[in-house]
Amino acid sequence: MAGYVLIAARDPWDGPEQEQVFELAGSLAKERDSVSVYLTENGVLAARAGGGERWLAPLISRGVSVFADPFALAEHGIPDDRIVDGVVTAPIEQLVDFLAEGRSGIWF
Amino acid sequence: MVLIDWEEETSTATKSLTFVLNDPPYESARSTTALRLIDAAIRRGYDVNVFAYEGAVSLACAQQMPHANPIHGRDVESEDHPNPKNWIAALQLLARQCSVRLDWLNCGQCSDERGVGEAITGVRRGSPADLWAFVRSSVNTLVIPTR
Repeated sequence: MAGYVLIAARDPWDGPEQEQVFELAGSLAKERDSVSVYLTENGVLAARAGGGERWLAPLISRGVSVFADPFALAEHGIPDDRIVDGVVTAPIEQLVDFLAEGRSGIWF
Repeated sequence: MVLIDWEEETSTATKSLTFVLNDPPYESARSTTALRLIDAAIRRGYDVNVFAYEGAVSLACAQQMPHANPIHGRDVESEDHPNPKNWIAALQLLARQCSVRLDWLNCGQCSDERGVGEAITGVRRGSPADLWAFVRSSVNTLVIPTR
């Protein structure tokens, strides 16, 4: 298994259902699977420092790699220096590379 | 206008990726993100298969028309209204330039249901059996669902 890439594209403040992507990432990491989360579209709102730590900090501490789409960050007016510690900005080519590696991609 | 000779389509790619799209145009950011992903995959040198399902079959509809915006007093030219069929045509051209293949397939039944069976040149119609063939020939498949 080449691991997972979970694509978080929804506003995490839009209700409990939107948090499932982070719950699944945490569960997979707990089982020692290789997991990355790619934030895009409204999902980058989770990357905002001062708010998104509640979801992302526990994942990052468990070894989950969290990436944010710079296109979506710019769309939402989130500068690079105002994102949660440990989140890495990565263009959408990163997602293509994950898929080409054979990672299972699940879009939320 | 760029005329493409589809009979001469060739590819030097060694891997292909499949994307399944479901969202109709002008509804959400999904379609834009999907086209960005396809663009990136082509530029990375991969053959790309697209299976457009449900409302996504309208993305390549040939009858899309730009329109004026009388509310803001703009004519067709100044409004410069985007039509996704043109973006798909641009991706087709990009694939040619990168010597990879972009195989865009619309679900035939979904197209008939919606009356959008007339797609731009190079877009085929097919069935879930074609999607299965795409999946089997690809290193990976990503489903981009509707909300």
